[in-house]
Formats: sequence, structure tokens, C-alpha cells
Amino acid sequence: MSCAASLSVEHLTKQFGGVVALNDVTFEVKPGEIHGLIGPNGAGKTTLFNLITGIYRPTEGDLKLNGQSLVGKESHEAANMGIARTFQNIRLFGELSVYQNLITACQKHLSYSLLDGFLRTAKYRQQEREIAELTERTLKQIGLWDLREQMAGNLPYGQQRRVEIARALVTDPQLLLLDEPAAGMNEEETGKLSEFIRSIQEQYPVTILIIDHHMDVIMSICDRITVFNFGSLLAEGTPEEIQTNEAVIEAYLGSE
Amino acid sequence: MLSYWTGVATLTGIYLIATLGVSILVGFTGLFSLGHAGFMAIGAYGTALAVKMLHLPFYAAILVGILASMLAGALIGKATLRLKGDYFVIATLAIGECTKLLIENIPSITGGARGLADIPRKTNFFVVWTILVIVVVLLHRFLNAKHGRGCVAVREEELAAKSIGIDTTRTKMLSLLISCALCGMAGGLLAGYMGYLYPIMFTMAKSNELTMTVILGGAGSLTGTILAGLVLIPLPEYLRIESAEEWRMVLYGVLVVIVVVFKPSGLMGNKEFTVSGLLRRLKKWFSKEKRNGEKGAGERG
Repeated sequence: MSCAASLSVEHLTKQFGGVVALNDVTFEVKPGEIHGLIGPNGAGKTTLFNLITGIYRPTEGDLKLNGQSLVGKESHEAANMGIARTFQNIRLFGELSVYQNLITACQKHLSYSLLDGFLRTAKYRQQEREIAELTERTLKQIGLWDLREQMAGNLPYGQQRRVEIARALVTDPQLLLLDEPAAGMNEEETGKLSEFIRSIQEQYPVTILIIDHHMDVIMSICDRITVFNFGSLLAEGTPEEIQTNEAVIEAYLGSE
Repeated sequence: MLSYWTGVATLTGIYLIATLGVSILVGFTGLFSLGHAGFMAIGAYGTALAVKMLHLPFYAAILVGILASMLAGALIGKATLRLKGDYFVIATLAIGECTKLLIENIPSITGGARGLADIPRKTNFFVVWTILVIVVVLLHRFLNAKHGRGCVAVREEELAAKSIGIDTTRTKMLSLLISCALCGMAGGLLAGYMGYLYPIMFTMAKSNELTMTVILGGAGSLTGTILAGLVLIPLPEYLRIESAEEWRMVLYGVLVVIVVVFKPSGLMGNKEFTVSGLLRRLKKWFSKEKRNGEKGAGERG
């Protein structure tokens, strides 16, 4: 098992042509915490996720996971360094079963070669057994074991979110990025989701960075919160501090 | 008459090997191809020329054919697999047409449109079907291992595949190389079975047939590809009565329309045909029948 990672964002800037999506952002995510990322639409939150996971390259600045720079890494390299994510619009392997979704994500734990797969060597059998156990354990922990045979694309929305998070967890991440996990959920479902995310943090040694617009979720589960507005850092602090921060209230509700 | 049907079965086996290669690429990795007959041609002419000009033994020559086909695949893969969009399909179309044109226009080496004759006939029914069985077993194992699952992940959702640590460009390249190797091998076997080669054996219509068979069988099902191949590849032979052969393409078209309307995911969808699966289905069906029967009886009572 890996341990939770720290993430430092240092003077990060991302421009798309003339549009500045992120402007000189600096903040720190501490190992093992649940860190919230909020801000109005277009504030640059998802852009930050895409920068961390190597989908975009930063224009300037640096990103460090446990002190190791992430700049210039491809998406799959970032994943192999221990970063897992979910997507704003769920991206499951829709035509595969829940079980297959997870077993496919165990890629990182398999070191056998193409030839081992063709010949079914002892190494292949050993590693395949290990990931089958890991998948079973994870599905049971997350409460998806009974749904393992279901086609992922046919599940209800809330369950798909859970499968996506479970798929991220089997990669044994040090840093888990959740992009609007509560989007489209009602009050009851968001309550369950909050509990679920907190239970993940208790069961797995992982740092969680979460984007969401549901303030009840963010305020109830986050240890610290960073607020973005128009690509810049607006405020940082504990949920209590953020709730009383005047700049944040102004950005969300407007000034008097 | 028997030898005639053995011949049909042998050719079916050869084309099935090529179709299985296309199945890995089109069905399992989700990369469309319109030119895999070109890779067959490269394999076929590579093998034939290695035998005739380099005087290699037949099975070493097939290896040359396979490698030549994989090299051509690696070149277009390197150029196009990183790009988003339809560039790869266009490149496969180009390689299919270019190969045929090149063969037609270098008569000093390839015999041009008149063909290449006097290739030693070294394959037969048993060799082809033994190779076919080995290929099926190996592909089945491939799909149940890390690299094969990576291919399916790329087909299903590329961004998610990246996010779980799959190098998607490499995975696509691997899939392309496997398909090229199998098409090249099928080409080599074809050369060794027929004893002669013509460029018109490898037209775009042939490429389309390969891809179409995979789609009709169900993209993402090895058994679907095999079933569809066993039916569709020997089709012109069943239809060889009078001039019915000309109706083959019409029949193909009708089949595609029927499948698209009634079962868009193909004959087997992305499911595999297994005996246990069939038994489970039958059991379910029978218990439903029985329940319906009991219900009916209850109502009458």
C-alpha cells in the first residue's frame, strides 16, 4: 500500500491563446487531507485537474507530487505516479461489467510481459490472482459486490459515480481527484456521497482533492478549502474561515 | 468434389486468420480500418518473393511476409495513431490502395497485373486450420491479459484509459501490429496455397469484407467474428450456382442493413459464445416457459 501524497502548486499559469484560465496560482495540499476546490463556473478548477493529470501542459509554473515535478508527464505517467481521478461527466467503460471496469484499472499492478500473457506463465497466474483479490476486496468495501455483473453503462447515476471512484481506488492512488462527484444529485444522495468520501479517506491512505458546487458536501467533509475566481486564488482556509470570508461572499453573492 | 470443399475450407481458414486480426483492431480496440487487404498483399507478395528470389524455405518466407506487413503497419501507426480524428482510417485506406497500385506498376518484380505465378504450393487444409486454432487460443489469452484489456479500455473510453495508467498510443500500436501480423500471415498462407498471386485479390472490396465481417459478427467478440467468418467468407461458393455470385455484394448489403436495424451491436454483440453461457440461457428460457405454464394452469384452475 502506498501512502498519501502532498501536492504543491507553484505559480501555476495556463493560457489558452489570449484566455488566462489560471493565473499565477500557488497553494499546498497536505498529505492525507480532504482538500476542497470551489469557485464560480469558469474559475479554472477543472483546468487545474487537467494540468495535474497531464491532459494540458502548464504555460508557466510547476506542480509537484511529493516534491517530484509533474510538468511534462503524459496522462498515463501521472496515473502511474499515483494520481487517480474521476471526471465531471462520468467516463466509465460503459459496455463492460462493473467487475471488468475495475480489473481493467489494475493495469499498474501487472508487470508481466505480452509473452507471459500468451503462455500463461506462473508470473501471469500469480499477478492475475492478486488483482482478482484486490478487485473483490475493493468491490466489497465500497458495497458494489452485488452489482459486479451489471453493465456499468446501465447503472443509475449515483452508482456509476461509485464505480468510477472504485475504479480510481484500485489503481492504489496517493492522490485522488474528484471532479464534481455530487453533480446532478439530490440532497439525500449528496448526504450519502459525503459519508462515502469520508469513509474512503478512513479506509485508504489517500489525499483527496475535490471540486464541487454543493456547499453542504464541501463544508462537511473538507479539512481545508481553496477558492478560485477568474483563474486566480481568492481565499484559502478551513470551512469556517471560508464561510465568513468577505471576498468569497462577494464573489458568490455580489457586494452590497 | 471433396477436394473442392477442402479447398473452400482452406481458403475460409486463411481469410478467417486475417479477419481475426482485423477483429482485434476494429472490434476490440475500436480503430476502423479500410485497407487491411493491403497488409495481406504485403504479406503475400513478401512471402512469395522471399521464396522465389531469396530461395528461403516456405515457413521462413512467411516470417518475412509477416515482418514486412508489420513494418508497413508500424510506419502508418507511427504517423497517425497519436492524432485525434479520422487520420488513421484515411491512412489505412491509402495503404490498401497504394500497395495494390505499387504491385500493379512494378511488373519486373511483382509480375504486375498479370500476376506472380509458380510459387511453390506448401500449405494445405491441416496446416491452415492448425494455425487458425493456435491463433484463436493465443488471441483469447491476449484478451484476458493486461494488454488485451488495455485495448478494450481504449475502445470504451480513451481518456479514462489514460487516467488509469494505460499508454493509449502504445496500446493502439500493439493492436495494429497484431492485426498486421495476422493479415500478413494470412497473405503468406494464401500465396503458399494458391501458388499464384494477382493484385486484384487484394482490392478495397476485400478490405471492406474483412471489416464488415467483424462488425456483422459483433465488434468485441472473438466468437462472433469466427461465426460470421464461417458463414460469410465461403458465401460466394454457396452462391456459385449460375450467376448468383454477382448477388453476393447485394446479399452483403442486405445483411448489413438487417443487422444494423435489428441488432446494431452485431451477431454476438460484445459477448463471447460459451457452452456454459448457452446452457444458462436455455435454463432461463425453460424456467420462464415453466413459470408461464404454471401461471396459465393457475388461471384455469
